[in-house]
Amino acid sequence: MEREHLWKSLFVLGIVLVMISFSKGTLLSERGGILIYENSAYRGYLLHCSEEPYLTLDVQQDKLVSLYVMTTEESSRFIDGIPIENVSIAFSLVNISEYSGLMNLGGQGLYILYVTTFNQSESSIEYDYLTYELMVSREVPHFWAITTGLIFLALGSLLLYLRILESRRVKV
Amino acid sequence: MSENQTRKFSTHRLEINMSYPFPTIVGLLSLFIFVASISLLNLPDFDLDIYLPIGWEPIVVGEELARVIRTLTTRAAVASILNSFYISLLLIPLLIAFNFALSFSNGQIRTLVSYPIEKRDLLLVKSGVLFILIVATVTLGGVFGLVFFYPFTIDVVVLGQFLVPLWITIFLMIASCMFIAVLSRSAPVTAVGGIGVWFGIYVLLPLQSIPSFIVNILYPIFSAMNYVNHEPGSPGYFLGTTSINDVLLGCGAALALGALLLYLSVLVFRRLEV
Repeated sequence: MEREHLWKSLFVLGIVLVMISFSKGTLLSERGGILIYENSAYRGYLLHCSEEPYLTLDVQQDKLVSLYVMTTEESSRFIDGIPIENVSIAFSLVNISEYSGLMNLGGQGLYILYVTTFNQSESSIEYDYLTYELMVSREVPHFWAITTGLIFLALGSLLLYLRILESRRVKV
Repeated sequence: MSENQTRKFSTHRLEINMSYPFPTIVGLLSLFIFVASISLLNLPDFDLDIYLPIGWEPIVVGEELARVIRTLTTRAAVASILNSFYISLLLIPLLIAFNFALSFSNGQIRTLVSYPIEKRDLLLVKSGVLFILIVATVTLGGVFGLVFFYPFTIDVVVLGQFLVPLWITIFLMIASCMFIAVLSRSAPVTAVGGIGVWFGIYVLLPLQSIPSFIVNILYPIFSAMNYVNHEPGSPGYFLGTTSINDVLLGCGAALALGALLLYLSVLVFRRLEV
């Protein structure tokens, strides 16, 4: 590919990637809620998360839930019977009825988000029915897409700069 | 490089420069990266949950977790390619119409055959360059999308299980559109005919009266996607359960049909007075 076309191509790809990096994406959207029949039962959702996805939780009927996010490896340990306080939790919220904010997970990867009525406080709350709305969105701009896009734009700019220098030298 | 190889290389260069001038290739790549990324960002999230009742069975829940992870990864792999494939259904007939069929009426073919290029080579180079262009841009677009949004989660074997059928489907589409172009020598007929045939088949496929082996041959990509990711909403769901043998037989038959159509196109093109 000629250099003339190369810098233009890098610019086109860079702009497309920067545009993509600002596209919003929903990882999980549970509207209308789910049922949790027993106290200390868990409902887990698989997420492929970026480092800091945005969480919105709204529990209905003025009730409380606890929320734990852990990697699939830790989740396997938890499923095998290790108590939840002994597994490594990436993010947790205990006894809440609503929340909106970033979840700092510390890294990109596969996570399981558990919702439960089980709470670690002294008082025991027993529900047999609970509904909530849960939404997890990707953070924008998306790190890898914007980084790659900016690298492409930088390389394109460098090639354009070299081309301008070359044309000046030819004129002289 | 021998003289023959140099000539073939020059023919490829000539075809790329004439039929796909800048920024066609980078534009196609950008389009497919964009489509794959948007498809991955809006990946369906149903059926990705597990339930742990009091006194849950670790083995049962563990298997359910493995199923959910498999569902997500196969769903992401399929989503990265599927919408780009739908776009190529439209693009392939249009590109053949404007880069090959149109050249019968504007005299470009006459100019090309005046060079020391055989008619067979001309048709094969045109088909080959388009095949490589579409396959490379669709695949790279999907891979870019996966690397950005689902890194380190995609099984290469799973990806290969439907990338190869995708390439074979694209080959069959190109061969059939070339055949239409050679027979009709008309850009509008090639464009409308190619799009009509392939979208027509796509619309008619879910009809119960059409045997599944026809679907496996004409759209091996759908049977492969159904084999990898059999769930409601996937394009080959109406096929029911698909085995690896169905996919392999479908791919083999599609490859043979594509080669036959290309051979017939060469035969017809050789006899044409241009």
